[in-house]
Amino acid sequence: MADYFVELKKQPYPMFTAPKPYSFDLNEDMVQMLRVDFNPDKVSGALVEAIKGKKGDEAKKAAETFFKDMGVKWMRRTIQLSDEYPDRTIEMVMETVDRTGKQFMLFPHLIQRYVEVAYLGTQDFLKVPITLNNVEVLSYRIPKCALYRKIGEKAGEDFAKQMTCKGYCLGALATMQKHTGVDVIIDQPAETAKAGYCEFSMRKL
Amino acid sequence: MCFLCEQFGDPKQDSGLWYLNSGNYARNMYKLRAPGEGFKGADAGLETGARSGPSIADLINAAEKDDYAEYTKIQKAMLARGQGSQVVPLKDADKVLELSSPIGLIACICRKDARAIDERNELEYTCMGMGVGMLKWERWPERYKGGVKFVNVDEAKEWNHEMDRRGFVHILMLFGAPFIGGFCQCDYPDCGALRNAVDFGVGPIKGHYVAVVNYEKCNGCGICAQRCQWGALKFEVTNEKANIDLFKCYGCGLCETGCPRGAITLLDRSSVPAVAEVWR
Repeated sequence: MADYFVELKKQPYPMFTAPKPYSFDLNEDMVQMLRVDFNPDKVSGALVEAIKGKKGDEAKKAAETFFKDMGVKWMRRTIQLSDEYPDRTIEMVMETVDRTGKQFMLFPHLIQRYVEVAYLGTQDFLKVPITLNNVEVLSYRIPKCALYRKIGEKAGEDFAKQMTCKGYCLGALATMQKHTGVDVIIDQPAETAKAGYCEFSMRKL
Repeated sequence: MCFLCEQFGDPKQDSGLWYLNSGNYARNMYKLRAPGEGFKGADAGLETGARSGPSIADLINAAEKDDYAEYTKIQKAMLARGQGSQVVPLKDADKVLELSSPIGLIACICRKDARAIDERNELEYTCMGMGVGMLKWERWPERYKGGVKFVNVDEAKEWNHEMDRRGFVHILMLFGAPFIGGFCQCDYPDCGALRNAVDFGVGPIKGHYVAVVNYEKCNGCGICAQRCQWGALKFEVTNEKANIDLFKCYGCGLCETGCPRGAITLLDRSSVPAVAEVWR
């Protein structure tokens, strides 16, 4: 019997081997590509150009239009890059949807991925503070927003406090909703000028 | 109020119960690592913290030596660092399952340890993983040898009710406090958490309820006594009825859901002064 165990131990343990080396993390090249196009310095610089020579309400309206358009572009690029550079984490979501034919994984997880890619590629923090993610609601906070800070530096604190930049995030979320086809109510319960952080939520209809 | 509610409960949500605070189920899918950043280890939270310091093996060694003083010292040290798990009855379990996504049915690691049982498919799974960490289960192929079956809320509830019918206790687990990442389906002696509680007094804390018997309805069938995993329920020979020791009751509610005559009900622990603060 003792020989049996000696022989057994010589055999390699039948470890599961993944068919390909999986990566569960975000592709760093993708994050950098997004950062090049939409880093807060660049976006705030473009804002200053957009409101150049304008004052008061005129400047505010110009900023709102600018951020709305920019938010759409930001999210379109995010979705494009996210889909071009998938990782095993999102593959697991999509495989489950494909295999079961059930859509329950798309909300919140596909939307959560787009949100996380969008902010990790443009903000200074290393993880997005997700405050809720369940089948009914996805919400997150943006503490110490880098874009808000840059707007304050380049266009003045008072201009930043008008929160015209919220159109950037809300426009991006609306674009994502349109792309995914998931019916959600988008809301912003808190904003940086008053609360010190922005909070966004998407509640499934 | 238990120490988990004090730390992780939200008074605005469902009486401040920590496991009904939806924020405790939220977690990011991704993070970027700062250059040179390593793992946090025991600093990551209660669950990982529980792995450092004295262990059950130390308790057993002390017991073998009949060293009661050492045993008590180790037990106190283990209790002081907290255990991130609590017993939850079925009625609260249904609410819990609405707060987390995704939900994956998985093999039980305790039964693999204790019984050498490999649960290899969804018909055999007896454990539940919750939260976005489950999307990365392939990182630990040996742990999840049988794979993961992702289910929606209704399927999860149905599965959980079946587990309850079979006689499993529902225990919620913290995975890096305050994140709740596991919903174990436990029985004695297979389950490590439950065994630690019954044998060594250092397992999950008791639930927020205690069970009481209505003697008018109880016919002494004894089904509840078969379902109790805690040694709290016995068949009283004198009056031929079920009898519950409230100090041993963990409030899992298995006796309540198993009683064919509806003779057992769960009371809020705080409404029974003698056991209102008895969590171990």
